[in-house]
Amino acid sequence: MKRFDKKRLGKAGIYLLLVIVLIISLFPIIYPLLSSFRTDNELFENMAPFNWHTIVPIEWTWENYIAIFKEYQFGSYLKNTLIMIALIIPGTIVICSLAAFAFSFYDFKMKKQLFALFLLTFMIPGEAIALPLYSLVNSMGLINTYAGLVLPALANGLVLFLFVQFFSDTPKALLESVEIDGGGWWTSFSRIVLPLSKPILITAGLMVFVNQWNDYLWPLLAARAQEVKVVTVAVANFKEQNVIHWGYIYAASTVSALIPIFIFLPFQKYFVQGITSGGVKG
Amino acid sequence: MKRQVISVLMGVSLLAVMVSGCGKKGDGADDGGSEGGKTLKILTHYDAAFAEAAKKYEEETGVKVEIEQTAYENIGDTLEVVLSSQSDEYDLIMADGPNTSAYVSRGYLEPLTEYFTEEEKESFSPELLKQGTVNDEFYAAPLGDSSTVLYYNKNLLKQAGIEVDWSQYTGESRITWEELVDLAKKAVAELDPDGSKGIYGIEIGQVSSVYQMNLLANSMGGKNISDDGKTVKGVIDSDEWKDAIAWYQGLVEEGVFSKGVSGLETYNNFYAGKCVFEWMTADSYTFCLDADLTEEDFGWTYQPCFEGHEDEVATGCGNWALGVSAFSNNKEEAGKFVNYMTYGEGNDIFLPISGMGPNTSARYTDELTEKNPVLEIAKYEAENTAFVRAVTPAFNEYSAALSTMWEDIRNGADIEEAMESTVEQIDSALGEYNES
Repeated sequence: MKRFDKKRLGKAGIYLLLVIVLIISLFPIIYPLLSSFRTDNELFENMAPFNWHTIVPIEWTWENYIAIFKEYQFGSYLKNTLIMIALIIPGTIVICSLAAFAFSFYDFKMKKQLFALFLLTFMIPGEAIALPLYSLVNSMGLINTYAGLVLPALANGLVLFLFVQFFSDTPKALLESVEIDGGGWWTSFSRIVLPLSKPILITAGLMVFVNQWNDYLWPLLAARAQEVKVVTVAVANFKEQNVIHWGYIYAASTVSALIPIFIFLPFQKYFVQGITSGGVKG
Repeated sequence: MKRQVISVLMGVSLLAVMVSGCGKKGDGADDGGSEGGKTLKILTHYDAAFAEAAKKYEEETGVKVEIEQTAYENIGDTLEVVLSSQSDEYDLIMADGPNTSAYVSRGYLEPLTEYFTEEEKESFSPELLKQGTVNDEFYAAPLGDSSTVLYYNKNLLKQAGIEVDWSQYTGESRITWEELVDLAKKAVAELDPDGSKGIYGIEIGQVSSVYQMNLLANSMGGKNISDDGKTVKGVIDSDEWKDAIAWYQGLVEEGVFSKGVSGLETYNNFYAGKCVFEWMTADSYTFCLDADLTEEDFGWTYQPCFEGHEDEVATGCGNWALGVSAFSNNKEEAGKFVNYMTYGEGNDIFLPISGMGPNTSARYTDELTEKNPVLEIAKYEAENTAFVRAVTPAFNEYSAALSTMWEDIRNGADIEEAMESTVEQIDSALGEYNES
């Protein structure tokens, strides 16, 4: 009996610990979500002493959501962001998978050096190349266009690396059999390699999506016009010289977090599968 | 079939990228663009105020002004990238007053001398003219001015049973910081004796920023930089600075001033009734109204002075200025627009919308003071006590180092050590400019 109690007590302790960890992990999501339904004054009035209403609104309001969509045209920034991403994801996948196909199945001069060079690209922080990149894109007349946002993102070293890792597991005999049957590289690529790469395609797509959805510096420099401005840059507008519209920031952050969550969840299992098969080798 | 569809979709997407790239040349701000006239381009966070003035300007001259909006905090960084790559993207440059010198030293701004007569230049407040002038050449015309004022929460003072005859205070006879601290301590002791409600006695609007914090030292007689602008040694480590810093740090430790609350959050604390006094800018009046406060809830008076330093009161000044990009293809049109926006009719349209104080005493109209009565104090301060921030091409480095020092002091850093390290950092930055 005593042993049974100890066991139950131990289990309860573990559950309690898990609940605490869960609350701590969810707090950064729950707090902005609930704060998006209250006014700034109510938020600061209830900041101290810490009580239930520090987190849960007293008077629930949609005011912040209405304001960001009506006064600040947040919907058009969401649309711009989705267009940008809809262009970047397929573009990146096409370019990187083709490049990875060449690196994985063909031998050519300077192959190793070139691959190392591509890998370097995702180790250099965006801030370091912002200035020359701006000069280049500006000289091409692409500032404030979707092309200016999209083109620099298409060749992605990390995605290339993932594809190469995944393709290296594909038996070369499959490609040789295509050749014997008279098929060319395009047949091998489109009929054999790509259909086998579903998890890595989804993983790469999700990685690109999350990176681009959260990107701030490049859209700030390359897309300042209303017609191409994206969500991350638009959220900064709620911080004015002498006022921060906290409620607007929370509402906009909630909306812009929900979209990736809804896209990410259905593909979660592929994402994990893709990462493990593309990255870690046993 | 499915695979073919995917391939086609990918191809179409890539094509769309290329088409969108080729189809739109961004802005066409270089030359022409507008029907029958030129198009100028500006990046600003005062987009609504500029748009209204630009509309009138286009009607009168045929010159169109394209306004690109960005957040206040992004202007400096964005312009730095654009201008350092010598891009002709913007014809008009918004410069925060003290940055003028840095922009000139990097070759970003074109002199405005030929677009302003001597009389027009002299019409600006002397401190603003000083900020826009580098090596005797006029580069940035002030759009407006700012000033620092003390606001008080009437409801909290009433709840604490404190009555003050605020009408007794004038520009010549102000409340002292020492008196104000006593009032704040009394109020907090009554309203939040155990500190559980998070009510502060005094908050500083732009806490830890040189715009406001330096004024404490300036109001004790301290300067911001040496007269030749080449060093801060012997200036920001002077006795006046030490006294001001020690006074501030002591009151943070006593809980009169807040700790750990960032600059703009202090405003929110005032709007939400979480601090009794807030020392902030004159244009904050309109933000108080926006936050649903009325004149029943809050009042305002002149910035306090220190006892024994009544004649040395230093109040904040300076605001955004407008210049012409050295890389613009439309310098002449841009120069004329700068004149229109700062000296001409455009400024009359700009001021009420932007909420800025006027750039000269003559522009304080009844319309402006009716909309923001705090501007009456701002006018007095601009004429009598305005103290300009350090004029140096190393202002960014100066500002960053001093802001860190003020925040360290707020967090209890050793005063001597903090000063010594700050002097070293700033003088090293100044040294680089002195050499070049």
